[in-house]
Amino acid sequence: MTTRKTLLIDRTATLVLALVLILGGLASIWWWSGATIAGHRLPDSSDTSRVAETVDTSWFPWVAALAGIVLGLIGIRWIASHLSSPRVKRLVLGGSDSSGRLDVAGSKVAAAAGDALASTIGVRSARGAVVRDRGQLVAHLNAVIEPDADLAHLARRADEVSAQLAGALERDDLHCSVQFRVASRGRALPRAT
Amino acid sequence: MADTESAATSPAADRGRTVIADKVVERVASIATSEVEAVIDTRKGWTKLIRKGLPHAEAVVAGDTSKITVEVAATWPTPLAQVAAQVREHVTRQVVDITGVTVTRVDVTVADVVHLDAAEARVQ
Repeated sequence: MTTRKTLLIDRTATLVLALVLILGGLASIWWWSGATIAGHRLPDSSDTSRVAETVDTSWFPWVAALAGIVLGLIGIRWIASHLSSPRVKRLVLGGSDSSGRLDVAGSKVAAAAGDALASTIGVRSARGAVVRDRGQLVAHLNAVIEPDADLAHLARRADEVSAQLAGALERDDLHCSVQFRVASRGRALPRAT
Repeated sequence: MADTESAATSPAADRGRTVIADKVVERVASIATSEVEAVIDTRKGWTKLIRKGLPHAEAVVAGDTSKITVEVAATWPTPLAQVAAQVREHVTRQVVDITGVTVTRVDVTVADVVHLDAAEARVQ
């Protein structure tokens, strides 16, 4: 599940990486040109003796190993936060209490909404899924429509199905998103014999 | 004859023990579930014989109490919370009335939602 926190970390990491690349590129151009800027000039060769001294110290292997483990764990956690499916498997329904839990399979109720939308004239096929998108509960309905479909009628029908979905789940935190995609070519009708 | 009379008059606890099996409660719960309006039976043909499909019930009976888990299929577009609550109430009442086992908890999952027009179109 891609949460708001994960997205914030992604954007921050992208910004930091972009700044590092831009500054590195500018520094390379400065070094290649040999220009003097504000009385400063980059040396023609770099001195790595201090790096060699640091690596030779007794504490360096332990600190390097510790830093490697921490960075590795952060990397695994970061990848894992992108791998989990955003689809909501179970939606808890109102009325759940100590006498029993009431819930519904999210994929099934969205699929039924997709079937309802697909039964509309001009809609070739439709699918639905309930996902957790940036912390919000969203029912996505995606439909493929005929090139000559009546868009005004489809928009009204999308509103009807969204209202039916809201009525079926009775959850105030559910948002509904309906997306139409026009089929690339008209449906081939069966040949009359 | 005398033995029969003494057995009939002795306390029930002395005459024997009645055990309600999990399967009995599951069967009663399954039938009670299918009696609720807006719940549909997705089992057809041979799947009815092996009791695959929905509604499906599982029960754990411990002494005089039971915990039941029910999975149902509902029609589109029905308020699912109401359907699930009706299932919970009806299952609880029927299990208590028929088996005498107290129901402590009924978890209801709407495992499928069926748009009947689309289902009929697929069959055709």
